[in-house]
Formats: sequence, C-alpha cells, structure tokens
Amino acid sequence: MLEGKAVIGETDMLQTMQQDATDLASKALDFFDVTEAIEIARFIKKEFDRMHGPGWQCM
Amino acid sequence: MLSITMEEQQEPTKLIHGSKEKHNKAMHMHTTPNPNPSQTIMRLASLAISSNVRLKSSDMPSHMQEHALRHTRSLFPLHHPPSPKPSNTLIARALKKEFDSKYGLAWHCVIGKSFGSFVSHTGGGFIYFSIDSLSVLLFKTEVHLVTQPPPT
Repeated sequence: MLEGKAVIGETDMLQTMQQDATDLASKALDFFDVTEAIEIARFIKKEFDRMHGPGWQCM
Repeated sequence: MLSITMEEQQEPTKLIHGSKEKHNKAMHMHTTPNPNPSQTIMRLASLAISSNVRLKSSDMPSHMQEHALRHTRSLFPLHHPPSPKPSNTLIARALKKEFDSKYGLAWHCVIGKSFGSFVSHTGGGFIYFSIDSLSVLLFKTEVHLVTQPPPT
C-alpha cells in the first residue's frame, strides 16, 4: 500500500463511499504509475460503477 | 502541460429519461443535420486558428462545437492587465450553465492545465479542446427527476 494519507477536500458522500474512494485511489497508485492519469481515472470510475451502480465520472 | 482524457459513450440501456417528449426532443437536437455542414466546418477551422484553440476530441455536432469554442473564448477578457482573467472554476461554471440552458441538462465542465479523466457521456455530447494553455472538457450525461425522496 502506498504511504501517505488521503486528504478529502470537499464531499457529499456517505462515509463508507468516501472510504471506498480513498482505498481505490491508493490501490490505483499501487497498480499504475502516477503519470498514468487516464488509467488511474479509468480504474476508479470502473470500480465505482461496479460497486455503486453506473454513471460515475472520474478526473 | 499534461492534460489527457478518455471517454466512453453511455449505453442506451443506462439512459433514463424524464419523459418521452423530452427524449424525442433530445434525440432531435443531436441528429438534426446542419443546413451547410462544410461551411460550419470551415468556420470552426478559422475560429480555431484565430482563437488559438486546439480541438483534441469530439463527439458533437459541428454547430455545438462552434458554440462551445466561441463561448469559451468570450469568457476570456481581451486585454489581461485591465481586467484580470476569471478563475477556471468561473469559466467552467459559465460554460456548463450556457450548455444546460441551450441544450438541456446535464452538462459537466472541467478546466485545468493538468488533469486526466475517464467519463461516460451521452451520444453527441462530448468535446475536449485546449484554449491558450488551458484544457477544457465538456460533456453531457442523462439525468432524470426523482419523483419521490429516497427512503431515510
């Protein structure tokens, strides 16, 4: 797991989903290089679609 | 400057429309052919050259592309020193609101110098371009009105 703590800027999301988001971001940074922005975004978006239903966007 | 984006079209099965009337109107909006497409494309090209715009990726009728480029350019003051450049957030808000009012809900706009993205969009509702040193991502997603509040 990548060292460092995720900082949440703004949110309108259940605590459990916030945790999912930060966990997936950490996992994405383990899987991909930090410069692979599209792959990181794709990974988080697809996982959220799978876990919480379709229609998520990630930048 | 690094700014990259990927997109996928929303599948029709995922789309939920508020009403059939709205659906037909939206479909008509995307599929109505422009009276003179080659003329619009030429206008689009000259606009891009004169406004220092690079169209990177698009799934959008050319008249809407032209509207996006013109409106974005109009949000930048001509002379920077007298009037300071508005923040990226304000430009994104203005562009989103403009497209919401002209082409229906719900548009999303991201503006910045460095971002990656992966989004789903409705057919005919995606454009990604750069203007000066900024990249602009504008896309549409389907929305439907919630008739009753979710259970608490």
